[in-house]
Amino acid sequence: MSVIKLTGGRVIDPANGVDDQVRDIYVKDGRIVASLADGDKVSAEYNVSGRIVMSGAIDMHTHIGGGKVNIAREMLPEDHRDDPVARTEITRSSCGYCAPGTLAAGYRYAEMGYTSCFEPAIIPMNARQAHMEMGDTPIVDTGGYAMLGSDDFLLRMLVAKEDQQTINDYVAWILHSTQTLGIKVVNPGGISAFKFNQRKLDVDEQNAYYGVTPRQILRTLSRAVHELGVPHPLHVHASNLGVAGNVDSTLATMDAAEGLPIHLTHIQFHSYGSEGDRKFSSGAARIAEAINRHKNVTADVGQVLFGQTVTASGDNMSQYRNSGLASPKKSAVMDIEMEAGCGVVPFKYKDQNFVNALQWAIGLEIFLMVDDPWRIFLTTDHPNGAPFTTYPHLIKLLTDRSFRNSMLDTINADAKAMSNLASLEREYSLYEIAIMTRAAPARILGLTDRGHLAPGAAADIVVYKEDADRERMFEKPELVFKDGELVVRDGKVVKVVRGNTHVVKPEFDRGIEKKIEPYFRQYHSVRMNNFKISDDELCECGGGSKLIPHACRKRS
Amino acid sequence: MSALVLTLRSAPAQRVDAGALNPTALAGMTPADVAALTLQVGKNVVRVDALFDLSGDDPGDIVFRGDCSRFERIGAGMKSGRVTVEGDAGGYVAQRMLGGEVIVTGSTGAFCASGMKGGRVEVRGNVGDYAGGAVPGDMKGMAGGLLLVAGNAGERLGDRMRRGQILVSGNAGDYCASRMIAGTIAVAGTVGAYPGYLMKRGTLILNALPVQMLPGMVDCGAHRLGFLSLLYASWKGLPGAFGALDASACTVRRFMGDMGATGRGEMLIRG
Amino acid sequence: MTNEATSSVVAEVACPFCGLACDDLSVDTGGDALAVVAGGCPKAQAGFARMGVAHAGAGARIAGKAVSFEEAYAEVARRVKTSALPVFSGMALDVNGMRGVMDLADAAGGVVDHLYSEIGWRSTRVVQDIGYVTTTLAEVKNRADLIVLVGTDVVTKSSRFFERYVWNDEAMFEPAPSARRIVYLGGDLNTAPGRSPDGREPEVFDFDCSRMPEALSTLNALLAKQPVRDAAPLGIEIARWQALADALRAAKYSVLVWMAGDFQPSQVDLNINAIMAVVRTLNVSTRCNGLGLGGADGELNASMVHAWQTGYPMRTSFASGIPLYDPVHNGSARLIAEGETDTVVWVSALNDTKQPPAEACVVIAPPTLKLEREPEVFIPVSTPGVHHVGHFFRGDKGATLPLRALRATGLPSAATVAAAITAKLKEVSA
Repeated sequence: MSVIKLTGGRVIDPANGVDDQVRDIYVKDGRIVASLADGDKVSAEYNVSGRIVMSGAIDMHTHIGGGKVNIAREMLPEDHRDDPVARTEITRSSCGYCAPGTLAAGYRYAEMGYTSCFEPAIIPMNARQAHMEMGDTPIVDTGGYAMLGSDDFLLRMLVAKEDQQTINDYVAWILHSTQTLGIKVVNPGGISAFKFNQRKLDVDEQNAYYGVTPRQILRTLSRAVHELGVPHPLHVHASNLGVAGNVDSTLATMDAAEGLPIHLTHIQFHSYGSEGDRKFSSGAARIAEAINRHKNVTADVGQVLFGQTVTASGDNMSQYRNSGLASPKKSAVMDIEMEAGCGVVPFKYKDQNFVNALQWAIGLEIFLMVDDPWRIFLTTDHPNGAPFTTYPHLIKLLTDRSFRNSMLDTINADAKAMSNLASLEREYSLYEIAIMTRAAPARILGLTDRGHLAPGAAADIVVYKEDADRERMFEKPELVFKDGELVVRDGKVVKVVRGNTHVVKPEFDRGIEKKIEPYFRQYHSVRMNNFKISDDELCECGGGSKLIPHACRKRS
Repeated sequence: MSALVLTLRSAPAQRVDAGALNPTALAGMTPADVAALTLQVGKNVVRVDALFDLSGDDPGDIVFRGDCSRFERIGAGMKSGRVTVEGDAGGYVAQRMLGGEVIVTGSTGAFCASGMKGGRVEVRGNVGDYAGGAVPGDMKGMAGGLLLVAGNAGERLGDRMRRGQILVSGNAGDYCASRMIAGTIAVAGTVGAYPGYLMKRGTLILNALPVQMLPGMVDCGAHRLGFLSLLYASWKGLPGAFGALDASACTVRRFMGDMGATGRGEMLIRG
Repeated sequence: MTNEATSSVVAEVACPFCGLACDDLSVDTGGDALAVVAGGCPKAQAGFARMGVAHAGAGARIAGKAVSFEEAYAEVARRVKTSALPVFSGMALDVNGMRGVMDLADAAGGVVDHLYSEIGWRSTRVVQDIGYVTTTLAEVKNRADLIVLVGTDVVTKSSRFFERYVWNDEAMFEPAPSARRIVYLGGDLNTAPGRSPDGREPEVFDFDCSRMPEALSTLNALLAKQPVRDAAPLGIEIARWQALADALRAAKYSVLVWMAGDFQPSQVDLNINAIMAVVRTLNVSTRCNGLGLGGADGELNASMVHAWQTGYPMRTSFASGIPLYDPVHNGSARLIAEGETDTVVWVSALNDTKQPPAEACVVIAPPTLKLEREPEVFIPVSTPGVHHVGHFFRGDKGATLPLRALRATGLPSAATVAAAITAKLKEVSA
């Protein structure tokens, strides 16, 4: 039994309404407890008086594992050369900046105070690989969202006008079979359309073969996720990624959920107008207004920060279209297993490039114009907008207006002129940062024992030394605890632990397999039983990760 | 001051990155400073003076003596000064070199002058594969400067070369000028199979028709190309086969290709 | 034929003996050796029969003398610890086996090299240089209308390619599988499996496969609407080449298939570059994809794990404590030939026929491997998919198959052995 006491810290715990209150925190066997029982002996006490204490941060959308990420790693030796992670007595060597190895990613996340990371684009057939990579991402908890919406099985069900209940069973079966935490839809129906040589697909445009529209897919899947009681709403990468003027299709995407919960991911990339001389403008105001108005909508930003990165997406239609913009000039695009696809395109965001600079401004505008920090999440869509290691810099941009304006003064002047960023006075408080990086992601993912510091919570705890320079503060926490173990001290890993895997297991009718099994036999490349990942196998491919199932409350 | 001479005591068993021992990196250092630098040999970290005997004191003029075929990246990234290898050198000689001069009296390993941007490299023996070529992860090979080879070149000479000149007095191996983007390669002897495979632009000058040519290298007939006389004149006095060309003899048979890869590369066969 | 209902037959078994990883095998576990009774191929039958035994009596040896596993682990740990540059080669492993060796190689400061890395690094170079547009086997099965096999018949290495992915009873989309057009680029290939079920012969461009650059140069020029020098490239009249180019343009979902190992090693990356030029040209107006197959002997298990853990592909040196990638110089054959390594550790759990290099002082392999010479240390291991569960990446990167445990053995897995050696190594360090 281990008992830890953190004494005298300034606790910020928005899930429990705690804003900068001095409190002691007790941890017993990896969980936070209200107080010690008689006979409990504190095995380690940390005097954290004056320090800011938060729960471990949660990245709800970060491409850390799976086929496309590994393509990016293989593609970019030039990315890795200057960013090595040296072997130590306790850590292994690894490397990479925008496409780091899993080992480097896990260490760096932990060193920044992140204790949970979620891979948002798991192609069902690729779920094993994604779990293996996440299993080799040390320290942090992981989980993922399974991609549906361009899979032929679902599209055929829509054509056949199967009832919602049957579709729900299929969606639940996918969640079980892939051991995931949510459902993602990427360019709804568009990945399939690209295989039929369609190069764009608007929300009400039909897939050339199936005649199904993105709106139908969104409506059906958002309802399925809702009715199954999966805590995380349908996670949507909307149509027309990166296209000037896509703000209209993004608003149409919100409408397609018909009031049911929907999460729009990397919304910055979907908030573009087509005004001005260059036919590219900010749609942030319209998007923020819509989010503020639609309480069923949440979004993560996918902030762009300047520099070299690599974009990796399941949206092969868009990534093929973008491959001409690759820098350096190389790209990988794949059609994958009648389920989805992927595209990997290295990209360099330049502050003197009009479009890139405006993308930067649009992301910040959205952050600052969405009123409710519980419904907007801090992401760069790692590595698509920037690598996750830029989060402390992003936090500084959000919390420090004068810093933000000084950066704004350095970007492309035409882009600056097109943005209202200078007029936005808002500065995020530490409390709000804690909401958007801890409390809110835990809530929206249904992680009841993460993202807060109340008794019963897992002891994922971060201790920061307060610093007016928020970038410096957040890039190097003093202490990080993972499930009660001290894993980072002064921004360096001191102990390597294995994180858990978060999944949901909604109830469903197993009779659906009578439809799925022959489909696999006829059309797929593997047998259904070899597609499904059992609990035992998950732990095997996760290298021994503990499985944490989260409750689903059926709503149909 | 006299040249800083590094005389190898005995050849290490593993390849050693000696890129740090160049005039730019050593500027301002005393011989004692240099002696105390460390290099990685296999799993071990070794002081420079454990590997070499040092004499002389001018870090702007460095001489390697002995069999340095296991020492890689000699002269890499240097901006000025001179490095002389009296004997063989390993791979990546003058990689990403910006200026100055590297002379190798023997032969080099692979990727000689890879990513080189300026300066001059003279190899009196042979160069290995991918001389002037791109290393995995680089989008282009040599990007400037001059590589002179008295002997032969291996395969993929000038692979993805972007700018600069490579003059080979001997022969070149297969796939010479593969994926070449721009620049000039001249080979006095023979070339191996399929020169100009996926070549986009750039100029390959040969003295004889290659034996195995790609169908995408299209014969455009005999031409008198004025720029060649300027080019030949610029080479006047260089050691090797290209230092004494008749500047007026600029009629060549011109091939363009590789036609499926933009087709703007030219292969010129001197008459 | 054994009845599937017999309790000793296990159905839907995935096969780890080639890159296709077919998962429709039925394996009878009742006999002394495993027997494939349905869905296999000669390679699968031989593999399961040969390695699918209990390995009774097999044990570790040092200098030919029986020792305990613990002694053998300690001896290997001592050797890699004192080595100036240990090399771990072979690597015919499942995912967990590779994970174990990676841990060991990092701690030991070595280099990891798969037996196909000499081809593999050149193949990987394509994604590093230009990228690709590719597809996977299930897509081929349902969509492909024109399949061009570039310098390979596939079936020599992966015999069930046509059976499982081309000549299916039914595809999800047009055309019917039997209407698919098959074209072989290159001669001396087994083209019989390319004949359609209704007897339509495949089209064969018959030439020496080492001259593939000429074929691809021709095709790319024609697709770019450019001239070529020869009236009949490779002795084949230009009209046939033009017809192929036209067919590719007209196809809705053409697929160009290659196996890197079937190209001349020095041409691997250039030929795939040239194939990708074809694919990219065609994708401007229609859909066309590459399909690179391979993956035998756990090639992708090794390359994928290496890349995801360290960021780099194989042939990366961990000697200095940070990963340094140099695929040209860190090949095991080269390191051995140049005397750069003093300790070669051969690890192979899936392959019991390939001989380790003569310099391998440590051999970690199934006891069925008939060694030509006794290594200084031999550690027998069990085989994934035969004796223990595991994971196997299919050669198209489209799927990872679960491998099953079908036969009990007292031998440890390669992952267990690697972990034990790593633990000993750390004891030595501490």
